[in-house]
Amino acid sequence: MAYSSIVYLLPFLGAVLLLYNGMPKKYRWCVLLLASYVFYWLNSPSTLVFLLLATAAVYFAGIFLNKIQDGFELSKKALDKEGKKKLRGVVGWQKKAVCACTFLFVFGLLAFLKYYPFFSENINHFLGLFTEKHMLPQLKLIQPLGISYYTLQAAGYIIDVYRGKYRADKHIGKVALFLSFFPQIVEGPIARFDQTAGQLMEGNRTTYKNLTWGAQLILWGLFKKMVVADRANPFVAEVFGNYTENSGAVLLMGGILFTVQIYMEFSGCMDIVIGSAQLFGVDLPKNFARPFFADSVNDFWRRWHITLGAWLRDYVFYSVSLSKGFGKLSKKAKEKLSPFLGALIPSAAALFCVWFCNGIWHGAGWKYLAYGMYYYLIMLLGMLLEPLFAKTAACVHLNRDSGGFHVVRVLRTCVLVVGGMTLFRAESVGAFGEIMLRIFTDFAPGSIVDGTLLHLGIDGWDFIAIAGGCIVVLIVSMIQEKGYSLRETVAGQNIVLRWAVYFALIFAVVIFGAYGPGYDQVAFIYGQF
Amino acid sequence: MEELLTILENLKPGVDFAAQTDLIEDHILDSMSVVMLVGELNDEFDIEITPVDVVPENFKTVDAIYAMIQRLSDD
Amino acid sequence: MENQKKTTLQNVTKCIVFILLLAMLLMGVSYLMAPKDNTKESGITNPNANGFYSEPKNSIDVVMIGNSDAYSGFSPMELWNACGYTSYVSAEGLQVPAGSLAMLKRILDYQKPKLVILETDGMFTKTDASQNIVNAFNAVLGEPFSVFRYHNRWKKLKWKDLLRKPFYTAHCVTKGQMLSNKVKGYTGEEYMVETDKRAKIPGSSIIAVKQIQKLCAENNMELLLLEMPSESSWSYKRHNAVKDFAKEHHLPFVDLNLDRDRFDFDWTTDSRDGGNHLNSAGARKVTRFIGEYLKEHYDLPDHRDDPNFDVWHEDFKAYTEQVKFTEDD
Repeated sequence: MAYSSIVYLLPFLGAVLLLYNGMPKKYRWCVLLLASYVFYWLNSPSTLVFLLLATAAVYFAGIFLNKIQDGFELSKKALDKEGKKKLRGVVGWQKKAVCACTFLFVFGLLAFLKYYPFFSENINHFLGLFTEKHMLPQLKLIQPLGISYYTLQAAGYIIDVYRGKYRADKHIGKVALFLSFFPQIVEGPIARFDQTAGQLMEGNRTTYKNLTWGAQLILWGLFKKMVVADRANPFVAEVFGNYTENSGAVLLMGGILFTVQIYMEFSGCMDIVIGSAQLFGVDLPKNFARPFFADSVNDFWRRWHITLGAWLRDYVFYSVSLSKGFGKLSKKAKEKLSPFLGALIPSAAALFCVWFCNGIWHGAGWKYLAYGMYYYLIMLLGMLLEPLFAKTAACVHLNRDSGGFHVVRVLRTCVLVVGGMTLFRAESVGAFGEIMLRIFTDFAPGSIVDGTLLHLGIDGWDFIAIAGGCIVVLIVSMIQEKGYSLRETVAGQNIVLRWAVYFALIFAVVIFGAYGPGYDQVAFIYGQF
Repeated sequence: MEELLTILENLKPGVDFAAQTDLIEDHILDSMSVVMLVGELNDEFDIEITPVDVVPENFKTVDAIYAMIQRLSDD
Repeated sequence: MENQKKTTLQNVTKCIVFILLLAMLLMGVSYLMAPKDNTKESGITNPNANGFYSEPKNSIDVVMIGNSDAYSGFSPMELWNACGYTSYVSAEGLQVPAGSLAMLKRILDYQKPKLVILETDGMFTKTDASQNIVNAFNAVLGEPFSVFRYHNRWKKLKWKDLLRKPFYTAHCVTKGQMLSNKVKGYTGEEYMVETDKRAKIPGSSIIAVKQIQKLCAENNMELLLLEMPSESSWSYKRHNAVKDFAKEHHLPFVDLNLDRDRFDFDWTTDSRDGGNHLNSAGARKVTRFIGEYLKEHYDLPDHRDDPNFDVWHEDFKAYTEQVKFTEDD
């Protein structure tokens, strides 16, 4: 039941909405929880148990952490300063042990179910060099729906409780709903407990504004997904599927169109997700902020899959870079090497962890690891070379803050992103190498204009529809980037103009959407992680 | 306060920190510079800034950073 | 409180007006975008199945609906030659009963058949919830809201076609049958091994077949369930399931997979793809048998001596030519 499918949008969402509003306020969260488990069960009946296990694990771990903390607060009053310090140390270890056990369990499930096939294959490959026996067994594992997303939410909750950001919640229903809320279970956004759990439990009635705004956002998401992403899909599949037979120019087009496809699809899905949640008065954190206006790769990752980046920043980057070990190392490096490098070491190391995690989070495979490292290297080089850039710019009197240079930086970022996406879509690292080789040695620019493009799964009309959809999204994004809220503006117009806009959007989806005879429904790419 | 401003000045030369209202939202302090800043502050003020303290509210303005330092030194 | 009530009422009204307006606009656009002919070039889906539009009004006495098994195995021209019955096969690849229902409704706009034959293989096609909703929508509101089926025609729309009334010009001499002279026999074991097991008919199929039965009753049409020989898709379990269904709903059911000697059927020569679909030779044998069955059980008019139907004699000639020259591919 994909978020763009009729069965989700009409009967499912409709029934949940009616049930939700028909319930007394006190029990509305029960409807959401039930709907979430029904949604999960309909999509992936056999793996619901893993979600339940993770829920139970973090719930009880949280309660346990509360107990330890309460015990500490109670007994510390009677102690002097030295005693307090000592006790704090003991309590710290206890809490660490609880966290470690919980992580071992939830990440263990994730690691086993998602990464075992990759791991065992490579280990066996390695073992195969020495012996034919003692191979790891090949297991057929089903990856639970949304495990990559809810595991991060669960871990974030435990870390926050451990760090004392908030106390663990005693209400198991609240924790369960936080982890399983049906709009975000498949593809995120990855929320924090203090962001959504409270709202989910409030049970506010669906207001007219939430209903209409939610519906509009869903419609906008459908537009991006059906008019642009699904229409581009056959081309991308064809180009990447037969990459050895295509010229460099066509492969570059494939890379660009895949970048367009994945953006329209993922951000479109987020619009549907956030719109769905809005129907119930829940504001989910946003996952996209016009990433193609980013002026650096760092900026891009602050605008693309925001909640994943923020999760890795808060729980991986700061945990590593602010750890005592790196603090000492940095101090030493500052004295022995140079202040610049000394300051850089904790960041560089932490950044490595972030991109390693980002890579393998996307999937079990060398390709995804390479994808993480691709961005790590770009960022590391950027950091190392920054003084050099600054000096060079000063030498040639280049104003790095000028509008013209800004455009250059945006374009450069786009090129780097398309490169990353090409690696992401390519069959393997080797295939990516081959594609790059072709782009640089066998570009054949003529193949763009000689009609080759029109025989790769889609025709000229499809290209026009894709281009039209992109232009609409681009204009909307430009207006938003300037700081205007387009929806507020439209909502402030008279009813004729307002409805004309909505009807235009509906008919754009109905007529130009890639669905019906000849089109298979395309599964959301990010649901697979 | 003076020391803090000197550290910030060294970190990002040319920014008038005292006049900034939101260092995080305006991307003056990104996560890299926060890490460097935390390293400097830990050394200079003999405090221990942990990941829990690294939230936008504590790094928004010079005053916020200063308030955090005060609080942590008291602990 | 009073004010709040007023706004709620206003908002509800706005929603209703919006939806009504949307429905009207969708119907308008559906009219504009619908194919205005039933030729292949007009953009109609499955022009062969939709050829009944250009037959003279109310000239067809028997229609067969169903999936590819039906258009491969039933030959209206052979039935004409043998019995003088006018028939049409409006089958589509992967047509499920809900699709058959939608098709039958469209047929009834132009034709008034006396007998409807439903090929039962499509009853077992598995569909997911989304497809069921789409199929149900198409069976009930598919015509006024045809834009959902024909929206992809935006690539080929011609200005002059937008507003004109439909005018059907295609002439399908095979009356919906797909000809094939290819021979790829089935030589494996007998597949109709008697058993007590029953295959499960999806609920959506049961609902749709009941609707078809209701529609037939309302229009004084007989309904016959029939299964074409098909080694790869049929089984005794399915036979039992349909037999039970037919019994429960008082419908006749003919399974041509049983006693195939009745019509000299030979799997080594009569299939075009190794036991899934029949070729033209298989269709001829099967159709002659169906003709005898119809003669025995129904009172259908023989039009062979009726001058109004002279064109059918010509069509038969054209059909025999086509059968001869259909390439063996």
